[in-house]
Amino acid sequence: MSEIKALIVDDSSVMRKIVERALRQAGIPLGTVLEASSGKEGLDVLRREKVQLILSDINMPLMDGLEFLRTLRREKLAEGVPVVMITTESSEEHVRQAITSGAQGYLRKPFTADQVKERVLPLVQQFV
Amino acid sequence: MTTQTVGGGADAALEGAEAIRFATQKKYLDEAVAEVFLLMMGVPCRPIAARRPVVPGAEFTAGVTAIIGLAGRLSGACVLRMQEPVAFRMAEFMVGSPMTAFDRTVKDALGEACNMLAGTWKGKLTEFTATCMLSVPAVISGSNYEFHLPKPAFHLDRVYCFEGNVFTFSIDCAGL
Repeated sequence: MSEIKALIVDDSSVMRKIVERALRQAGIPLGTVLEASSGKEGLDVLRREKVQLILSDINMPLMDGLEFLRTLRREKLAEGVPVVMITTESSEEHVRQAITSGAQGYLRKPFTADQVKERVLPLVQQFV
Repeated sequence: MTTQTVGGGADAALEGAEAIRFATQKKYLDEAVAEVFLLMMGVPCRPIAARRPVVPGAEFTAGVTAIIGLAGRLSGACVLRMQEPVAFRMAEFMVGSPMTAFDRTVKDALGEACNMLAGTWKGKLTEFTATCMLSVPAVISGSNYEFHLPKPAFHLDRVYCFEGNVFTFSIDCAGL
């Protein structure tokens, strides 16, 4: 599988580093990793860059991850690109909201590289 | 008569004293802390029976605090407190590189640690998982402050240790 470009959207720079590390440890062939600290910034990135994977926090100030996802779908940005939501919220309702809003996957913090491999790698393999 | 199912969803909503008893079981907090530290930082973390070393305004002058608000059926705050050197160590384990100053990365790491601790604890209380939301975290530096909540329904307070570093994690909730 060739290297992919990913976008990580999270208001925490530490969390963005952790997510990138977990993706690499899970064996996902990451080339360039783009970062955004808010949903709005994430949309700006996707208006000018093509990516093959998007991971987004849900609970962010200004524009939360679900609104980011809904806007993504509404503006037809990154069509077909798998989106994985990463969050501390774990109720079925939250998962349902994420999937209904257009996410293909859901990772609950804290997560392991094995969980990333199990939930994210198949999505990337399918898409690429 | 209400029934209670722990860990698999409640058959009927817990109320009053029963809800408080359920929410204040220390095992859920201890499990949450252990899980976050092991999975996100790769280190074991366990509760210790010690007098609180990190009470703001006490022996330490360089304390740091991260706070996450709770809203909904559980209403209050989760508070993570420690000395500055412990904050550096916590951030180091999360980021994977040494920290020598209380900079934006350390503050960010503390906020995120508090977020994960609060979220993981809340996730273990299936009764409240869907009916309680978390705020974004706030980080406070310094120890000269007091924390007040109107009529707290419960206060859960534990001291933990990872690799010889001690911190406290408290949960204060007003009304259930």
